[in-house]
Amino acid sequence: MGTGKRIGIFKYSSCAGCQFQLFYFQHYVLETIQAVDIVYCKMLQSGGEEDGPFDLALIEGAITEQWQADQLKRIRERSELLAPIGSCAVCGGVPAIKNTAHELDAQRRVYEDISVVHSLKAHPVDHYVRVDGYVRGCPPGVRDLAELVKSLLLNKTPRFLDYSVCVECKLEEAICVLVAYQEPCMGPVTNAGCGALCPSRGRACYGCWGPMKDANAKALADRFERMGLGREEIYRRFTEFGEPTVEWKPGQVKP
Amino acid sequence: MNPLEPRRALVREKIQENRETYSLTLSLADHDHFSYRPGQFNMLGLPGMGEAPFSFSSLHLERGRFTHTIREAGSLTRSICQLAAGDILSIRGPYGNEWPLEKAKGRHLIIVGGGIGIAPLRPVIRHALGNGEEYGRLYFLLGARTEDDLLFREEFEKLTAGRDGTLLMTVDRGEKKELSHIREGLVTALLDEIDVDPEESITFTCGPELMMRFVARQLIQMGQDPYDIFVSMERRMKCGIAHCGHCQIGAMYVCKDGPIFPYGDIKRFADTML
Amino acid sequence: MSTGYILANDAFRDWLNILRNEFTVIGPVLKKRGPIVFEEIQDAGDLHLDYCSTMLGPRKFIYPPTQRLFRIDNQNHRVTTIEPADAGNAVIFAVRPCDMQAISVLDRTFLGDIEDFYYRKLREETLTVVLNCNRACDAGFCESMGAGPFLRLEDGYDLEMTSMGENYLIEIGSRRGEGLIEKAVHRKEAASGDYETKDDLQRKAIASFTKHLETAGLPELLMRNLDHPVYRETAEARCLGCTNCTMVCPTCYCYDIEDDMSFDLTVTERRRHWDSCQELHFARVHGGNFRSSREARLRQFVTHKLATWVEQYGCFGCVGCGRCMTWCPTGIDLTEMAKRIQQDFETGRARWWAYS
Repeated sequence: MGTGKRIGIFKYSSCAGCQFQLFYFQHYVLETIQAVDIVYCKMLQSGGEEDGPFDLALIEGAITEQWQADQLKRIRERSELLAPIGSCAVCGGVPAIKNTAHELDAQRRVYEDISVVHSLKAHPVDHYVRVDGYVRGCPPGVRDLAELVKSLLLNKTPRFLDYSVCVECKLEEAICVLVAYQEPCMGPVTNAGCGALCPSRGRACYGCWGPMKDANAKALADRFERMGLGREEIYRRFTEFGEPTVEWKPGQVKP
Repeated sequence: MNPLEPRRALVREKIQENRETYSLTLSLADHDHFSYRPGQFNMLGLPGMGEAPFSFSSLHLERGRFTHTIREAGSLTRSICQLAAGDILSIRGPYGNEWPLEKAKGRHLIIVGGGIGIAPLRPVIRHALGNGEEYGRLYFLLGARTEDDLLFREEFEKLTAGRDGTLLMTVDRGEKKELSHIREGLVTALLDEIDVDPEESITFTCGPELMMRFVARQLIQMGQDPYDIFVSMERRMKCGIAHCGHCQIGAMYVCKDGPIFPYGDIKRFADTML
Repeated sequence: MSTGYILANDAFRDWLNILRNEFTVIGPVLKKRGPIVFEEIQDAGDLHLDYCSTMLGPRKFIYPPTQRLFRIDNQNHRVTTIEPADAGNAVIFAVRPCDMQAISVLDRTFLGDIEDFYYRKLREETLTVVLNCNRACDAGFCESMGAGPFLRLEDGYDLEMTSMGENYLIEIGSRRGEGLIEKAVHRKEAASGDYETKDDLQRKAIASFTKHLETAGLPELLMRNLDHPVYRETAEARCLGCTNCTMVCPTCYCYDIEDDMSFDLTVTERRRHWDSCQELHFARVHGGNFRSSREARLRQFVTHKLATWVEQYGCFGCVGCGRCMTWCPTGIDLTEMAKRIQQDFETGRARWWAYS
């Protein structure tokens, strides 16, 4: 029984893993397929209603070319709700690592003939348009995806996880790798949702879910420095998944 | 008994007060015992949307019915305001303390309300006007953004006509200039117009915290005791029974020790705008 | 003095295995990769009694991180209470005195004027066996907070154990505790010499503390210096807002309630889970946030534990277990913050008058 809620799924610069997660999520919660109509998703079916209108537009990937920004603005106009899904769309993600270099240098490293390349610095979706929420994760978390879809059906404001990875780590009662082993763990400034996948297995978090709101990146960078981590290494940690974010900027002191 | 377990209430009547505010008259679906005092609140909720606190805007139970006046602000309030007569919603309460009407007896009563904060003051205004002999002079100072936001304006105008109570109203933006008794400006300006000895009076105020701050400060300057000024506070609440911790202001739980506090008592803590 | 018993170490292990037939026996267990965690033991040998402190206290069995509250029918709003997952008559062994004190502190919130249904049930179904601390732990200052190193409570627990080398002294705290110890086969009644040994151990334990906090006048001092720069400086330079402190604190009781609706929109499950005043959203209301700065949130933590708790419940909200500073990634120590305000008062830089 469809409710007539129309969803459009768009992909920009990213690995497409978020869409795989979406399809896996559908399989995981069969009811979703019945509850919504996916009217545009290139990966699922060719054609589709590219011009909407959509009740909800899900955007995967960072924005790295002008046509993407232009299309994104058009989608925004035709969507009731719009949410970036996955780290690239939420906070720049892996594509934004290139932002640490000059754009031309980044282009030259990859392409022999850069005259045909028209790339921009990588930016998250909210750099260009207003968004109605963030489904974080790499890949996006099932809990937040479910919350978003249910909120759409219920016409309510979604509540996404907004605390640090440390919370999930504590609930696992995992030894803190930062406190106990002096590992440079990004958990305290990274948004939860992964279930403390790395730290609860004894590895430092590398921040793939992007920054937690109101993270104190400077204080953590200072902590890393006090325990002997090089400036280069610290810079790399804070630019790996969230180069364009305001939350992690204070930790991005160029070596 | 599980205090977090909601009861069911029926919407009996819905009145639209202005473009975003509705008064919902409710009664318990199971005819359970229920009573409340002006100033207290209920947790109203809908499945899937959660619960939130709402003050009573009715004076007392009438045939088992009571009223909440609700402004559409988030998704829960929007959904509640979309209910119609006959619909069900969940209810817990009543919680919190009451307006200290006993303390006000034999003194002048100054009531200052702002915006949606007028709603919790409505029962006290009605009570005071119905029992005028128990109090000295009555002043009702109400402020809102626009004329449309002045809740219960016609009701109060009717109630005060030919009585002892003085009703003064002000709006941020005036629309009809010919209404001479509605001023333009801040509600604090109305305090200059009242002719009353602050030391002989008691104040109840409810509205935005910044408004209450300026009202209280001005009254204290005029000579009123900070413990004779009562403010109604609002905080995030999840339980209503002093367990969930969200509504704490210093040592006070707004849900249990409040929502009504003597200004002098609540002012000593951090994280308010008072 | 209540009756006490002496159990030799072997007899203690036999006793545990007897109890396992009837109860879920919970205790500190050493896990892979090093953490010591309270969980059900399969054999008396699993019990790791020589521990200092666990990351999460035994509060998690009485006040679980997530609790399912109700199932609600969306059509008619009928509510069904979800009974707490059966604790099944659990006995928690080797609860440290600070953690026992913490549970009694939680009791004042959840079993006060209004009783929490779920907490009441789990608290009643869970027996607690305290193990006194023969030496101070590095970060602990329970002695200063009146919570240790030996049990200070009069009631609210079931048994009190003291490790005395070759054997344990076990004292009775409740009738149910008495029922437990009566199941021990090779027990013998404690003699006066045993109590003297205990007193001796307690004196040595108290003397082993390196960390202290002067609590006399502390609540008043903190409340008069709400604007002390220590909060801003610590919040800026070190506080990460990660909420580790409140996750591990054994007296933290704040929770949030969340509705989870089925995809077919027919049933809602209402749950509650631990919340933290260190989270940005904690004091958010429509149109504002009363503690939007980290400074305000840090001050809330420190002043609640060490000041306003006393006004609310007549006891400190801190039992001196030292968890918050142990697991803080930047090692923020609330006693150091309190001490700085105390020192500033000594040197005339902090207030001792009412601020208005």
